[in-house]
Amino acid sequence: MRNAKKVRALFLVSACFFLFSCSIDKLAVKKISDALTGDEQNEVFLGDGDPELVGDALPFAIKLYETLLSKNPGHQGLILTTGSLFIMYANAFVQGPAEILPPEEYEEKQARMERAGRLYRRGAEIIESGLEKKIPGWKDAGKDPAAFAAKLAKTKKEDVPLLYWNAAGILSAYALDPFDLDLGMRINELAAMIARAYELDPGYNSGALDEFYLLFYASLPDGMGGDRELAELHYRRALEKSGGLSAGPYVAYAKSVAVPAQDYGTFRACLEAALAIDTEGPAPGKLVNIINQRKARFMLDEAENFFAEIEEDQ
Amino acid sequence: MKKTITALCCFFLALSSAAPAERRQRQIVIKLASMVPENTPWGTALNKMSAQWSAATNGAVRLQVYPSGSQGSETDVLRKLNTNAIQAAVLTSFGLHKIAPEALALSCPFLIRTDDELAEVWKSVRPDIEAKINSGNYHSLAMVRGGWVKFFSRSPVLVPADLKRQKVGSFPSEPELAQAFRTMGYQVVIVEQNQLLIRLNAGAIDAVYQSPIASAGFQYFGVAKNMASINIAPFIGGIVLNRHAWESIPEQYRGELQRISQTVGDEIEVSLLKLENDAIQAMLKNGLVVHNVNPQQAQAWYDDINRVIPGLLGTTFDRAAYTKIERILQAYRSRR
Repeated sequence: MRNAKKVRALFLVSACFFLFSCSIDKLAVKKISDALTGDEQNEVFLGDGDPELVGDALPFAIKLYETLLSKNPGHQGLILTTGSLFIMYANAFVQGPAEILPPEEYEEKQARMERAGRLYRRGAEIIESGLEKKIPGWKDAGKDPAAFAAKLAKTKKEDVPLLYWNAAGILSAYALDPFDLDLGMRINELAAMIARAYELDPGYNSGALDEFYLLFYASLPDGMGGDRELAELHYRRALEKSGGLSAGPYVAYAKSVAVPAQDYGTFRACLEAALAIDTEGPAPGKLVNIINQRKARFMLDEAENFFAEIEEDQ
Repeated sequence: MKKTITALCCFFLALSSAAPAERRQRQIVIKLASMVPENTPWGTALNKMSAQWSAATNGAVRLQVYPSGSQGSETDVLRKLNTNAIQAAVLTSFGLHKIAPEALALSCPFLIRTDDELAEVWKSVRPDIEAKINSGNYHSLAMVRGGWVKFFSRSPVLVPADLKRQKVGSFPSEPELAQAFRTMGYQVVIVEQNQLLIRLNAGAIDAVYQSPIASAGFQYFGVAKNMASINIAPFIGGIVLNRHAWESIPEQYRGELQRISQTVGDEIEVSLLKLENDAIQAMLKNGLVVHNVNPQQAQAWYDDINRVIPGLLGTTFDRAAYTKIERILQAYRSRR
């Protein structure tokens, strides 16, 4: 009898300790999650002027965020940060360097492009889980335009980053594999997401939505949503909203509009404008500008790889 | 002595720094235009070909690929080939036939009907086409079979009467095929390729004849969701070089570059066949309905084209090439 009491007391103490430690654990994870997902944390990466340092640090950071997310899967800040870091890393540190590999390294290039595609999808899936948690039924609604429109109508301004990164991840993966029909069939869904994001917050991230639209309208065939005039419109808006301080719209325009049109004059003017942006002082988009300027320098140096005919006076 | 050493050092430094520039100057650059995007099996294969050309010539010949149709339509590309603004191109049978009219006979509707028939015809007709290309201002680097052209339509198409009720889209780059269909009594609407899906969506056209790869990639099947199983014609492509460029390549390299190009072409052929199958499977998952055309229904198509073919020979299709293919097929079919 006495022994039974002892066992019960021990059980109660253990249970209390377990519950207490669980709640401490949860609390700690939440605190850390909150601390690591603020705007200041983004600035630690995006305001850095050393792309190599950031590129080397990001895989560890991504895995750290992923670990925290596994402990706290409902944390919207962690979902957004983890998913968007996957997509940013894929773009800046996997696809970007792969694009400048010489033709001799085509196997390496293909392998890296495939890896970038997998990272884009992984990031987009994480972001999509955030939308699903906020708006139950989100994932299944995609195939039915009316049902999807109803879900989109429930999104608020605070959801714009999730809409943007989800669409950016899927579209980037599709661009690397244009025969992936499962992704291709989602083009209308992506267009609807960005339209809603634009309606809620047209100035999001200093013109990020306009830059998305520039690439979207310039890259897709006309029948699938491509529209040269709208690409021009959003290029101008992206420049206005970024105050001309972002190299991104210039590089995107050079690549997605000037190269297909074989307009070397515009190509060079855009890339020179990108290179003229000051990246010396502290600036919010410093890292992205430095990476885009490297792309711009490469494209200018290797212009003959993009243009079959370059006039001498150009 | 010190001066001599310094001068020698300067001389060697100058020599070593001049070597890459000189090599680059001596390098022969072949600019190749391709309609397909880089991130596709075709694009990857062309990059591979480029790398292998550089390796085989120790960097003396560089193949620079311009993907995604940046050099314009096939008509633009042919013009640029003629002016040497570019030196090489990937062409479909519609571009190839401007160089070798015999090539279009391979694409005559319902002439060649199966993979086996195409293999039989390919053995003897391909060398003819290559010889024809090589006899003029061009050189054939590779010829490739790329699957089959099929009907995709708003309403199911099993027999010619089903299609005659619908408006069929045809590209301006294929006037010969459009003429063939018109002669057969179809309502042909000429439409630019980048407008095809828009016109399908708007109801201005109801049906297209396309490769399943294109139908999937450009999502034509989203509107024209019925595919008839019957093969209309094989999809043929080739890689050609203008003669000036071919002759500018040192003779010692030509054999190896030719071999590399055809090997890559063969690999493209395999990957395109797989891609065609994957495209059909993916479209089936996304709403495509395949309608099996039975032998009687197929015969109705063959009778329809046979009725008009005499009027198309010597104008739309090269008579000698058509007759040769027909004889090969008659002999092949009689053996089966």
